[in-house]
Amino acid sequence: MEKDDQEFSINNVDGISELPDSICHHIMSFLPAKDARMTTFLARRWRSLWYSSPVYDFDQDSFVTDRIIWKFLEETLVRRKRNFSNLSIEKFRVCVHMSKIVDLRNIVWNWIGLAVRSNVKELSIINSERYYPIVPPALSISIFTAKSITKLEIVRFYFIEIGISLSLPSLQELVLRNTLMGCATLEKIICGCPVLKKLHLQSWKGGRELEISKETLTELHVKLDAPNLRGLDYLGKMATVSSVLSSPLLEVSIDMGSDGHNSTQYVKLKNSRSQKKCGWLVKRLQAYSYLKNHGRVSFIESTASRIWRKNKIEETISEKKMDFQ
Amino acid sequence: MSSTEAKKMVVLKSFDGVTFEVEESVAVQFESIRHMFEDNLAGSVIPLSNIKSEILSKVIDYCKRHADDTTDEEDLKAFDADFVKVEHGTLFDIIRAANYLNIKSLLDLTCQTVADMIKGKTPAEIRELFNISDEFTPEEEEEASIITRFIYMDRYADC
Repeated sequence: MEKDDQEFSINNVDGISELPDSICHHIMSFLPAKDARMTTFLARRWRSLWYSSPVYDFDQDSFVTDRIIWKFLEETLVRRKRNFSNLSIEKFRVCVHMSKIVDLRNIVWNWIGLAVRSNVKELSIINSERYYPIVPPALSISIFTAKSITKLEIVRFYFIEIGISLSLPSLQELVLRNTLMGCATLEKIICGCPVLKKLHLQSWKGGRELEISKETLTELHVKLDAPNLRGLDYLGKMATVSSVLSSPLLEVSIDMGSDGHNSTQYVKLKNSRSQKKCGWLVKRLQAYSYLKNHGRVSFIESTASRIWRKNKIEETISEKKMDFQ
Repeated sequence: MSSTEAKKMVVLKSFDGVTFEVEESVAVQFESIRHMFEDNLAGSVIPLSNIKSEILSKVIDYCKRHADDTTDEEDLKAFDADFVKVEHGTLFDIIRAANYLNIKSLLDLTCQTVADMIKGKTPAEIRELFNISDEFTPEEEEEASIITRFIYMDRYADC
């Protein structure tokens, strides 16, 4: 690798071929994987650059067929491992229809393993297939104990319970969408993140009560689809809270530690069936409880399905507002 | 910035001996030489021995525009779009200068510009675009064309 600050001649004619590796890599980081791969045929100097790149973004959508991306992932993995396994990876993102074929799946697992070993900072693993591939336990452990990861995004994977304690000392942002994971594991992960700032939970499929208590959080985005979820507590100081609860929840309790104030807002909602409408209402109530920075706000709705229409909800809330004051 | 206080100036000298006097608020964007004028070296001339005056003046122009808080987002975008409309040689020189001076936003802007030029093109098209001489053996050329077809059209023979 050449250094960033290397001396260069000012009389270059062929500009692009003479750029230092770090700049070539930087240019490649703005390209979709297949275009970045093409650069290896530009000139001799560029031949190995793709395989030593610190940034990879494999997106199924940019490939014509599924077969190609699997070939492509494998080829890059093999050559990277062979020649550049000691270089670090800054960002790794893979977005694929996870195959049910073990060999193909292993390519993804091996890539993730390599990324983690290469001190990856930003890791995104996205499965766009409808089922939930089980992440091998050893790999889950290495992901959730990775020292270097600052941003982690996982979409549509299944993690089985992890027995040991977990630690992600650098993790600042965690995004779990459509991910099957036990509460105990998620709590362990959150517990092991001393600097976690942003937490996104979307259609997270947990099970029992989930308790998140995190002083460092500044943003929490929750979209849950957990039929058995009974309670949800927000604790701590948060700048942003957005929540859409789209499941037929029996009871949702949102207890928000207000921002720097002693008072606690309490929103309680009981919903019999209606799903989307429930989500909307929770949003409104949250916004409301934020505005009203006083005492305890309680809202219980069990049966009134006829008033779920949009214009009526406004009324319902304003009525309740009066009650609370 | 206080208007009553005299603005601190920094003098930069290009490879071909041209000096540029810039406000410190502009020069602080040059991350890699920041320490030179922050360590009480203000007033002395900072030599930038590998940047041509033509390029340095463009870079200073960019940094001036980006240091100005009064410019609104849209104007800045338009300025950036216009800024990268230069000959390839000049663009690569600006990339090198941005890299040397460690100006992240300028490096991102220029590298993104090059990436956009490359996007969707075959190696042959890119070589033509940047005037890169063909230095591969026929075997390597064959490999390139197979992989190109494979990636873009899924006609890889032994797939």
